[in-house]
Order: sequence, then structure tokens, then C-alpha cells
Amino acid sequence: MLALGLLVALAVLHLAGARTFVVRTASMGTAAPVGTLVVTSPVTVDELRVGDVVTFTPPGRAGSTFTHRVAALDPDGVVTRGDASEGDDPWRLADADLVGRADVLLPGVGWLARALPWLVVGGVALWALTLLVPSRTHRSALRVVGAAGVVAAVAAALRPFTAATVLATTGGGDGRGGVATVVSTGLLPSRLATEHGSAVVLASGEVGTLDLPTLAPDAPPGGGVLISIAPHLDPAGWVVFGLVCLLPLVWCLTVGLAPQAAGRRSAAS
Amino acid sequence: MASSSHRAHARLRTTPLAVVTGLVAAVLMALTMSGTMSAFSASITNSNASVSSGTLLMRMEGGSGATCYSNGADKTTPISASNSTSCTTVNTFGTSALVPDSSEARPASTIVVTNDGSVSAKTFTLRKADICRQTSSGAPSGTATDVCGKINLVVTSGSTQVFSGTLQQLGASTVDLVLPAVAPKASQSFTFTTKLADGLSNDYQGLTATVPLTWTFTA
Repeated sequence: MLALGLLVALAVLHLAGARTFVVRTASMGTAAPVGTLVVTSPVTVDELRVGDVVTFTPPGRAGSTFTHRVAALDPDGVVTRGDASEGDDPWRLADADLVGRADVLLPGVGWLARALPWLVVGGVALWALTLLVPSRTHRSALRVVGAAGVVAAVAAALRPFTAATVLATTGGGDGRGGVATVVSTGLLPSRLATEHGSAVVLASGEVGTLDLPTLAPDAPPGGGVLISIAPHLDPAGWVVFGLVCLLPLVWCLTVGLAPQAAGRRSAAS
Repeated sequence: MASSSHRAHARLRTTPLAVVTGLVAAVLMALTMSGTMSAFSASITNSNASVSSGTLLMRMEGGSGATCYSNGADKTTPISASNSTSCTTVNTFGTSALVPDSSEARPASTIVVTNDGSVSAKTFTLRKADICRQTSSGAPSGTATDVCGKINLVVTSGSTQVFSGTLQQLGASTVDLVLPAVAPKASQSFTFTTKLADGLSNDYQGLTATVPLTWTFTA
């Protein structure tokens, strides 16, 4: 019902000229991290102010849509820049290039929008496959584990929780060490670390740097430095994390598995 | 058959199977959310045995010694996600004033574009970012409105002619000028020669024609 309500709300907004986009890259930093749902309303150049976040298709780049902040309003067009970028974008925008002003930025909701179709497909496939299991108890046990498996598979493919991207690396003076500029693209605060180098804690969309260890002189060409990533939560965060993970167990202990058909059931008390 | 009310009361909650099922599913969830299941790792390519992913960093130098880097700063600054910048210190067309004289031998403006990155730029293109626009260089200035069409531009790279036409035509072109590929640490120099058409009236004095250009490396 909730999904249906959302769909109806989106359809109404669409008819009113609103458009929705899911942020795919980290160029807007913490303002709109990867996985943010952007809701735009139509806008003209005259209505824009410096600091507004706009969604647009740059001239000559049909097919690609960007959501960046207005950096300046020049006589020859709107100058834009991503919050995480160091320079202005190369283009100047006119009315025809604008898709709309980003009125609402919903971090994380975009992940849900991207995951939902796969969760539905996985859920239906799981339901259909488990119909083949004759025992009702085993069937419901498989469905609980399978549902967690579907969530795990979708999460492994989309990586919404902990993920990061290397924006750039600069070599050290001797060309064997250096600094990596990284950005967190996951929902959870994450700690990134290199094996024998530095570590950095990043919030969703935050940009940071990692010192890279100096490679051994005999390191093979084409190798590299592995950056590990893990959630970095405060104690309350870990409690919530644990409770979410325990949801299937809570389900089994409260709702329970389906019993066998009458007569063959042995565990009722 | 058991009645539905009987079945509803008889769901298995504390049996070993229910507990094991819940635990297995909970572990799956924990692996997923902690990132273990998604096995995230970011590796940095070690090209030529130095720790660095492939980079493309464009350096542009004008005749006056002005330099721009595509990351908006310099070689030691991290490259941003867009890796693009507006370069206003290098005037591609040179800075000296033009006069409508057929015998004028105007010094050509030379721009040197260097790939300061670590990988070869597969394509290198020059595209106009806007149409040619005319402004007044300062008072007093002429009243002509078509100075863009009266300035001829020839762009050469070595012995290859990349472009020849008026600034008006350059600003109106819709295709990328394809330039020779640039290897890492290599440079390509471009010569821009401008010439004001002969026999123009005094209406064309004190005017400036501007065509913003975008130079792009792609790997």
C-alpha cells in the first residue's frame, strides 16, 4: 500500500512538471550523496539564484543529466559546479538546457528506488520456487532465509551501505607512494584504510584523502594498493545495526514458521 | 485438515528449525550490511610500478607564460571529479590589437597543450563552447556589429591545418575539431594566426570578438 501510495504521489508530481532522478556519482559531496532521490520542478534561468541546485542536460551532451549547484549567473549563461569539484563546469546553461530546480533532495531514497524492482523480482522468484517444497515448515524456513538472501544479493550488486570511489591518486616524489583522494558513496559512515598506510572516516558523500604506503621496489607492475572499507558507527548506531540484522530472527521467534499439515505435526505444545 | 484457527496457534516459534532459520538469515543480513558480503575493495592500479591510477591532466601554456591545469590548480593538487576548469589567463588568440592592413605581419599566438597525466589521451578535441560574441574593447569604439565575421583565424598544429575560417564560422561550427592524440608527458603545440579583413571602415575600431574554446582529453 505504501509503495502504491508513493507511485500515485509520483504520478501526480510528474503531471505537475516534477521529475525525479537518482544521483549516481559523488560530485555533489554531502549535499546529494550517491543514492539521493532528486525531485525537480520546472525553472527558468531568470528564476535561479546562486546556490540553487539544478538538474540539467549540458549543451552538446544529450543523454547525460547532471545535478550541480549554481556557482554564478553570467550574461552568457548559468555557471554550475559540483560541491566536490574544484573547478566550474565547462558549460554555460540556457533555459533549454535546464530540466528543473532540485526542490527536494532525499538521501538514501534513491537506493530504495533502484533496489525495489530487484527486490520484487527476487521475492516473486523465491515465492514461486519454494512452492515446489512440499513441507510447509521447510517452505516457510526457506522463504525467510531466501528473503535475506535476496536482500543480500541486491545489496552486493548495488552496494548501498558501505562503498567508496577513488577520485584521484597523486604519486609521491619517488613515484612509489602517494595520496589517494576518496569519496564515500555508501549510506553508512565508513572507515577506509590501506594495509600499511593511513585510515580515514567518511560520512556519506564526504571527500577525504588516504596516504598510500610505499610499494616495495620489486612490486609487480599492474599491482596496486587495496583499500578496505567497513562501517564506522557509534555505539547507538551499532545497536540499531544489530537490531536490523536480527529482524529475521525476531520474525521467526514471534510470527514463527508455518506448521506441518495436521496429523504430521510434532512440535506443537 | 486442521482448522485455520488451530493452525494459527500452532506456528513454530521456538523449535530448533525456527531459531536456526532466523540465525542464518540474520547472519546473511549482517554480512550484507557490513559490506563483507559485497566484498568491497578499491584497488589502485600500479602502472609502471608506481602507485597511481591512470590520470589525464591537461596543461595549457600561452605565449605570455600563463599556464592553466585542467584540475583548476597545478600538478600536485588532487584531480577533481570533473577535472575541468575555465582558463582565462591564456588568451588563445593572442593579445595584440589587429589593424585592417594587408601587409600586417601579426605574430602568431602559440599554445602548448601538455598531457601531464600518466595515460595516453586517446582522443583530443577542440570544440567551441559558445558562438562568437562581440564586445567593445573600451571607449571610444566603432559601431559595427559583425566584427566576428571580419576576423579570419588559421589554426595549425605542426604542418597540419586544423581550422581556417572566420571567428563567426568557428563559433557556429557544431563539430569537434579532432586533434592528434597526446601521449603521457608529451606536448602538442598549436599556432593561432588571426587577421582582420582588409579595407574595413573605422566602424570596426575598438571591438573585441570572443569565442570560448573547450579542449578535451579522453582516455
